[in-house]
Amino acid sequence: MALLTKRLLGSRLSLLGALTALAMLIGAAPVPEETAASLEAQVKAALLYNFARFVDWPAEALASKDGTFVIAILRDRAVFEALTGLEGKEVHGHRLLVREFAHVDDGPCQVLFVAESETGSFAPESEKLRGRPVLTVGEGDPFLQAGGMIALVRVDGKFRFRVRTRQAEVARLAISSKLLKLADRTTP
Amino acid sequence: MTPPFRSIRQKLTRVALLSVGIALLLSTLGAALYELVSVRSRTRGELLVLADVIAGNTTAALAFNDAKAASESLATLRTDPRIVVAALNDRNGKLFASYTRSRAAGAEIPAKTRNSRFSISRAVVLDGESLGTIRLDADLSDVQARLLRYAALMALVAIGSFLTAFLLSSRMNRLIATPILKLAQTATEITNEQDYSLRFRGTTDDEVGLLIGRFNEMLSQIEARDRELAQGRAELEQRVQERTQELEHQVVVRTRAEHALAEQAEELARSNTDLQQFAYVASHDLQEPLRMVASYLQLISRRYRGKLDSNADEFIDFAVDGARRMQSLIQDLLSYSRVGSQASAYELVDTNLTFADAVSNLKVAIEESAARVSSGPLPSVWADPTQLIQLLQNLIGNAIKFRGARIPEVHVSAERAGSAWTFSVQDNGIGIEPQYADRIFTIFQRLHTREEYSGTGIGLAVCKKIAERHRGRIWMESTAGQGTVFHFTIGTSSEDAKPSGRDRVAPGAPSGVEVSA
Repeated sequence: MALLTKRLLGSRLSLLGALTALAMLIGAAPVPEETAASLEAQVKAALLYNFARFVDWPAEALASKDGTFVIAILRDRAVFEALTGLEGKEVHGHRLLVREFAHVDDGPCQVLFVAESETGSFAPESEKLRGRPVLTVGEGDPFLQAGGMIALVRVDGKFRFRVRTRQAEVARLAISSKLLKLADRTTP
Repeated sequence: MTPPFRSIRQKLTRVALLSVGIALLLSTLGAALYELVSVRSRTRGELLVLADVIAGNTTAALAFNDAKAASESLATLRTDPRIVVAALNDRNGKLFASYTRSRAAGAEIPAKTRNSRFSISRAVVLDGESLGTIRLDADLSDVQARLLRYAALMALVAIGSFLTAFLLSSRMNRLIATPILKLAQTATEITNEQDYSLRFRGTTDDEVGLLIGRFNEMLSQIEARDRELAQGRAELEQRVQERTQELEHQVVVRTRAEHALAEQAEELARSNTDLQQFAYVASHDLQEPLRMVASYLQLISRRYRGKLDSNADEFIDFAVDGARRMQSLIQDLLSYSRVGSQASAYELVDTNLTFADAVSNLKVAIEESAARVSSGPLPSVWADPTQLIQLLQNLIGNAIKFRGARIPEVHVSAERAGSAWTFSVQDNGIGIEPQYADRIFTIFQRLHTREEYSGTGIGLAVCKKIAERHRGRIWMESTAGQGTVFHFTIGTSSEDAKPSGRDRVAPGAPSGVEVSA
């Protein structure tokens, strides 16, 4: 079963494989500046994709008409572009769709990535999402203080993440214990 | 070729040990096989569950490329002492995280599972997407050790069972084999010594005991039969011996008697033949000189009668008379001897005709004496006709010759007596004294002088000879002065009438019953 799946998906997953391999390289060796920025975006995209897989949404949140699973990117073109490479993959039985938002409430989504530049203004914006089952991912501890759920942080040159479970609970999202176990830090 | 002898004791032991051995072997093998298979399948199942748990626990670590977290997950395997190596590979087959039980060999993760180990591997899947594979290697050496301990225990149990079975079979030998062995031993003794008085000793309460009882019964029967047989044989031998002796004795006696008889018969026959020959030859050869004497005496009588003195004439008459009498004697003697030697064949004879012939021959004598000769109805018999005529003629002639003062009356009759006819010739003549009853049938036997009655004394001897030749007999009854009855028998069948092989000449001294024709 596992072998079959692997063989069927093998070719399409080559990119993801490459990404994972690159992600491992990030902490290992220094790279040129512009390439580094692109790589960073790709790592973030992979992380977003994986977060989506280890979080459970309430059933009605996934019952969209067109059967899509939407990851929205708020004002971060690099991550948006990196993530579009993963579009079409299945997440919780739905086709992955990537959208670029200019505002928090630009449309329905399951995951919302907030660019680092938008963290400062996220606190009031997050009110618009209150009660909606949207996983909010941002960068740095301030994002968590601004009402975000998962924040990407750099620790010893490697990307890690921190989780605020309280926010997720309010949004009726169940973050897998496996994910929590990998978290750099978990706060309620 | 006979197979080598094997005692029932060995066989019983062998059967017991074999059954126990096979049962033990099968049960041990079965148990071991079951243990092995069940341990393997159980272990496999447990390892698969374990691998699934680990796979589930490491999905996130693989997805987030967190080797440390994966290693921590793998480290939880420490609770299971069987797991010696765990290897988590990413989707490219590259080692992502590992676990080894022994810290010393921690760095070394063998790509292949060692032989003594048991390995399973599972894919790590998230949402249908394979993230990598987890491989678990279990060391089953403790299982093997347990199996070894198990085998050792089984071996001990087997040895113990064997010993127990051996002891039990020895006990069974005492119960079953010992009576049988005794039986076989006694049977061998009996066969070797042929002594059926031996008996099987000891008995048991089972079929062997039954067998012993039956054998003893059979032995008793055999013994009794042997005894009877020996006794019977002895009796038989004795009886045979006695009978043989008796028979031998009888044979000896009989042989002796037969010899004597044969000798006697031979001697008799010889003397008889000699006598007959002598009588015939003598009478025949005497005729010639006698005729010459008589002829010349008659010639002298004719020529010189009256020319010599009166005494001479008288003497010549005496001589002529003597010669004539001698001639008639010789004639009679010849006729007597001819009865035996010149007989004709037998035929069926009507004795009425025989009577008529006899009367016709006696015609002159009957007329001279004015005798009355009569007969009753007479039968036909198988006989020599000529001799039968002579027999009747002699008897009738005698009846007329020996007449008294009365006119003679002769009556011939016949009467059936059994298988023969008895003829009777009755007269009223002078009769014969009873003391002469036997003598009269002797040749040349005369009771009277020549002067009283003529004759040579040979007539009745001829009659007796003829009757005997016809297997009959002749006898007489008489009262002196009253008359005489002569009886003779002739057989009725041709068989009876067969001439007897040998005629007898009854020896006797000459004297005088005369018969004239």
